[in-house]
Amino acid sequence: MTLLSATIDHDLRREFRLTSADIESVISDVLAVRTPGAFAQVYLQKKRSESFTWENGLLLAASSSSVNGCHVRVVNGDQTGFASSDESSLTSLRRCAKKARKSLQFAEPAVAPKDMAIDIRHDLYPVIRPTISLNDAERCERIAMCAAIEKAARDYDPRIVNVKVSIFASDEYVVAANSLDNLVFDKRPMIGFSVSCVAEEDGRREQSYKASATRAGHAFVQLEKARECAVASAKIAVTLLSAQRIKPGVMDIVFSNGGSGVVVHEAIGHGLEGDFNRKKTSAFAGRVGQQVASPLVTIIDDGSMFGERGSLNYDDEGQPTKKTVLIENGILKGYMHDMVSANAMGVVPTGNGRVEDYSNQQLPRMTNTYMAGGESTPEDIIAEVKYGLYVSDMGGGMVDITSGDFVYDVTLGYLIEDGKLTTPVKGAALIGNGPEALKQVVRVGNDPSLDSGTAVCTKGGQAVPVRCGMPTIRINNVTVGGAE
Amino acid sequence: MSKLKLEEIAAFVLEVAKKAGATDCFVSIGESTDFGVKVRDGKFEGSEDNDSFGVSFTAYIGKQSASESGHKRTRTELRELVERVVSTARLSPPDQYKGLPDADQMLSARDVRDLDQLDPGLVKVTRKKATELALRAEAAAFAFDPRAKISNGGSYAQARNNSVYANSRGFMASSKSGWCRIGVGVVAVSGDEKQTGGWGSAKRYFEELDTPENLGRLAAQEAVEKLNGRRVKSQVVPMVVSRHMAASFLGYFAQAASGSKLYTRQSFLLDKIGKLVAHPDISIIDNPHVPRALGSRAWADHGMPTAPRDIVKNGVLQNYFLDLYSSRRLGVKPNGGSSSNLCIVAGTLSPEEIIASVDNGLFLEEVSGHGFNSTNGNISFSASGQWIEKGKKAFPVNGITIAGNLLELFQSIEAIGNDLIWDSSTVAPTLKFKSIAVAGE
Repeated sequence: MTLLSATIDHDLRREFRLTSADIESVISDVLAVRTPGAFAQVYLQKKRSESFTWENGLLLAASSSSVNGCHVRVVNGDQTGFASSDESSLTSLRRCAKKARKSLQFAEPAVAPKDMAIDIRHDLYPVIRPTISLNDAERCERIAMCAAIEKAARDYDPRIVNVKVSIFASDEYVVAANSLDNLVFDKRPMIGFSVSCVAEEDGRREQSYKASATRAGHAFVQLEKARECAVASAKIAVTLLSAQRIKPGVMDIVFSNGGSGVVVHEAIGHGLEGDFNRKKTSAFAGRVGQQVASPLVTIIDDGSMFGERGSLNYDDEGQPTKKTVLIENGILKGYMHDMVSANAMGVVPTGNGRVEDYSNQQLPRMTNTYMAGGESTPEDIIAEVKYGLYVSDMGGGMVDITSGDFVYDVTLGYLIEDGKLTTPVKGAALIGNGPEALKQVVRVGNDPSLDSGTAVCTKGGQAVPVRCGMPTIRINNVTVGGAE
Repeated sequence: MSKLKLEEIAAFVLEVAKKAGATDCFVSIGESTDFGVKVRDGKFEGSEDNDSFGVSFTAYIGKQSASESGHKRTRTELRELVERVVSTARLSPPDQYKGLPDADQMLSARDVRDLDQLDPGLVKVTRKKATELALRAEAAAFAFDPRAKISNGGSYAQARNNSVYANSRGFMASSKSGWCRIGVGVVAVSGDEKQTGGWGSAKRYFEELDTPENLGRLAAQEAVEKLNGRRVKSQVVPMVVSRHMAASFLGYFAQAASGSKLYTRQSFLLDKIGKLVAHPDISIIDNPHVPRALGSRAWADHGMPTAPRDIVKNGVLQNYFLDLYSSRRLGVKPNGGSSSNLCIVAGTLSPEEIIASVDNGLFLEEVSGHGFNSTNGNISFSASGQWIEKGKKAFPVNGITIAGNLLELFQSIEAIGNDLIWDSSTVAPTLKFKSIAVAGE
């Protein structure tokens, strides 16, 4: 194994009581079944989290958790052996190695995955100390802040009858080492808050949810910002009380910037993950080089953005993250890959191999995924629409990557009539087909923005934090599901 | 340090907590072993083995509380965990609704039933056998129809768990459980169109699993029947839902009936006990005592008893799902917590008879999106299924949405099927609803 910096060895010893020689020996154990082309990885994870949940004047929960474990993964061509344990001792690693290796008895010779072979050391998190509370004074401070945030939401309007506030933080240490002589250590923070409200009037009841979380330090949870989130959440709940259900039909949609970024995530993001494309199950399989979207559309995934929720210094395979242009002026340039899908498709990995925790296997996942800004102003985009829907607050979305069909859940929007925003509307599902909808993007605004940092992406039962973004855009001919 | 038995760890934690000043506490400890295999295109693709151990501890100082969970095994780590939690509890503002049940509200150890939740045969299932089952399922999917030709993989997985719960008021119980599952997925292709189909069978006992051949066939059939689908015009029509979709709707209903949604006022079922919430022919029951069933529970939170419950009887709402905390928030008695084995009671009509009663309408097979709002009951989903014309499934339909309100839908049920099959812990038969708003072209 190549000589490591003193820092990594020191961190390894302190956090996991292991040495680089220990890890090296486990990796050679696993490859002892001499299959040329086999690739092995050792992954160690330690994560401490805390959350305070406050609801209607009561501290619902003051809880913390620690996750601590390891896995050994061995890959030979299309075959993988994997074993995990919640003990990250050398004995436990050896046990995992033995189990992971057993399955390779079925193996045939293969070509080994390559790494990115570049020495980039990102430093993407502006954090000096752990994000979790380190003493009683800090815990008290966070509890008191929860109460203040609740007050801000309630003070907004007397129709707010229930407020639930959560402040959460986690510090994660990850080691990824492999048989290509990579060994990296990443210390990842995450901190944020959420506010959900219920508004009631004359027997009608509506709910709202707003959150903001990112890879930042202790100071991210400050009262002003959290109060803004509380007021925004309360405002949505109250507005929904007078919002109508929209009449169903096909119409032109203007998506507000930032939070509508889930549009990119579902319509195209998942469909461009390398595993679906190498297995040919994605609607975008085999289409590199083709026009898959309007020429106004450029879509990028970038895990190397400073201090963002979806960013990582290294992915969970130990590869540095980077900016990957997925679609440029409507042409599909490539996919997001982990080392296995990159190897299967004969390309270099893109730093998108992620896991939820040590007990899961790496898969190609998104990081920070966004559409680049264009030329139009948001005001012009709205003014041009004779009849349509302006989406101001998006819930989530889902996609079937095989058919390409997606759905977005619109929490709150406004009808556009003769270029002006009119009636508030609520609870509509927007559906479409990814490849088709992207061709219907007719306007792209000059106001690109990322969401507020609330997105959790789930795939194969694994949840990872991501960030999405978009400028204001207009997509024509989207089916809107409403009630009469 | 020798490996402590789970009961010993629990007893140790309670003792340390008492010494640290906790007036009450409870601890849950669990360990599990699971493995899985995946196949693709007739070949072994991967295996996965996981071992895990976890401790979850909550301490009370009067009405103040805090909790922590983690993989702590040694006496030193456990002591540190307990002391940290007790210290955090001291800082937490009191919540008058928190706390354990009284001693007479909890079961005694001898009243904890054995619900036969661990198949001793699971330990004997070999990797070779697991791989063979997965391969057979995938092969059956490919064999069903030449259009079902891209694999989404065959799989087998199983887990065995051992857990202990103990609290400071004298209740301690352990339970052993397990499950196993065969799954298969396939993509059907027609020209440029690709559609997926997937099916699985999950049981506690290995011998009760559906055959791989049946699963493969059902997965391929699902994929193929979606091909050449089309949209329809926006319209309001009767809707028949498959038993899987009916179970999903029942699941949303159960969410709205859960204690935590009720005390935060995020439920459309608030203040509806004793009122008509469904058609008078509808009854919904929950039974936690079925041996070997996936949802069964011998005790509810903190050792309180579980019992069969009428949730809806002849259309009238009888009970919510109330654990101890939410029952105190609402000022009512607890009744065993979340749902266990939950169903809409079967009717007498076959699914074919129900479909035959529709002249023009939707047979709903799948929805997508998070479009259920528990606060107002509204639903709005992307939908697909089959279009019914003159009493028969005529063509696949997709690219549409459905929108409505779950309460109104349940109140307007027009037919209840006889096809109640316990392949999950929440099940329902085929149902027909009077109308739904479809958005399409």
